[in-house]
Amino acid sequence: MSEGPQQLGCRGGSRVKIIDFGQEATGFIAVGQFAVGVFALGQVATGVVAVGQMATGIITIGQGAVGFFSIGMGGVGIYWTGAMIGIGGSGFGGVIPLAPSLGKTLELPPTTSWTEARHDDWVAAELANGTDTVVGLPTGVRVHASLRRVAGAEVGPVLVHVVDGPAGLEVDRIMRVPIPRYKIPRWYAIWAVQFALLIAVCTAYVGGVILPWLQMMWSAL
Amino acid sequence: MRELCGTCGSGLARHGGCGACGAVRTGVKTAPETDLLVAGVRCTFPCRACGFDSPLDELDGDGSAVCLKCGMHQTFPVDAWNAALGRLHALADLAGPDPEGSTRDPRWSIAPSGYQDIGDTQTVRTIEEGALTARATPGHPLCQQCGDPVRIVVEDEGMLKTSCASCGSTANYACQPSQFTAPIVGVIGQEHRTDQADATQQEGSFMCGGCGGPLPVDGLGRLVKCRFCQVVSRIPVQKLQGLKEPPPPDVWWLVFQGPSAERTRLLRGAPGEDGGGIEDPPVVRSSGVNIGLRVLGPTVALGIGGVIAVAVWAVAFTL
Repeated sequence: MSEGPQQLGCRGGSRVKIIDFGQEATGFIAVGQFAVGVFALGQVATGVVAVGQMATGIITIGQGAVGFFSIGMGGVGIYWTGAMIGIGGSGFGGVIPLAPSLGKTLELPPTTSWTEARHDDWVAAELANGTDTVVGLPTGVRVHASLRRVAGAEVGPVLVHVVDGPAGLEVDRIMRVPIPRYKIPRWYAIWAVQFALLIAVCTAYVGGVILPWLQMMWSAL
Repeated sequence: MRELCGTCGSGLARHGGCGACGAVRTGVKTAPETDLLVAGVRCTFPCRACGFDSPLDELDGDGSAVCLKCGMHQTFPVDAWNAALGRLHALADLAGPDPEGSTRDPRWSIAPSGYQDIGDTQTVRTIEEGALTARATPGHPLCQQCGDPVRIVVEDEGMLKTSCASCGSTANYACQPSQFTAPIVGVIGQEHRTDQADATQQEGSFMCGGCGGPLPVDGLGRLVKCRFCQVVSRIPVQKLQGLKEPPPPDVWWLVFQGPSAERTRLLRGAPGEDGGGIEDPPVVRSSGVNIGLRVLGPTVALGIGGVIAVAVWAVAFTL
């Protein structure tokens, strides 16, 4: 460790440097191959804010980043991570989310009934197995043929968009009516696995990152 | 109901004159009700020797064609005809003014089909397949005597008979549909007519097929009436090579039956120009409640997870 010109006074006369550079740097701001500090920059950086090839801490940026918030090619972010490959509470990129989620909030357009349907209206309908069209269309309402394959490939409640065609009302768009996740039993199993993994990652993060960092900072004081 | 040009029989657009023959919108006829699909064509091909766009006034699957300017016989692949006939069938089947063409399926809509502008805002579509260029239009052949739309009767494979309800004149035509893959039932054109004598040619002059008298041939009309015996003789297009100016391409009519392959493809659910799929509802992004839930969910989960993790380590240290 190199001697820095500025030091912070600490208990028992021990001092932690404000800025430290070197092979193994420990300070409020640490820059080195192995850097430990509040702000750490190094090949292996550990800190509240850590930037490095391998960065661990709270807010981390690195080729490999492990933190509460992390950004990296490979990332573990307890709360959030942005990574090509990663795991975390939530995130951006190729991240396995661990925080159970109800999913995106989707907004369905206002609907009307078939008797009141006019041009540019949405009407509730259903796709059924074994048919290649929308179930329960009133006589005279046709479906655009480009929807034929997709209509035959799905089952469940949908909204259909009707427009005025040359021969009366026509269905030109079909929209899924999403079923909330909490109504799908499969999601409870997924959430259980996610939560178990989240606890495991949290435990590993506290034991592997937070406690060693506290220990190193404590010993430097 | 399709409106026809009173001069050439092409299907007119909703407004304006005939884009096929250039005639103004006068003497408009109405296409008769029929289950046959008819497309009129003016066909040419570029001569490989002289480069002239020579008329191609007959449907012949023998694999050759003759330039009417230089007289060169050259190959003309049947594949070009087959590809063009498929598109001509589609044009006859799907052209406007109805956006879905000749018929409407009771359950499925296919508009826009890609051909709906023909007969609506346009009269003619140019179809190019290989060496063949066809200026095609939906429409109906007109009586050569009185100009009214004729009635078309399919008599046998490739054999058609036309009759005019107004003047009573009839005509017979023949072709060989089996040479082609498209479901063509016949051709109506001078080169396919079977009930008129061909004019003979002697020392460059055309002679009446009835009495042998000289005929005044200018290359524009393929039927010439003899001033001596009043018999109408047909001038085969190949015999027009000696004229100073090659004749312009003649209008002839391809007659199909049944839905085109393009209609079948559209009805089967091939994605249209705009694609076709089931949409997902739009995601709500701006709602404060939504943002709160999106933040709150992971925070609560993480809080519980974090507490458990710290508790685990606390227990571990204690032990």
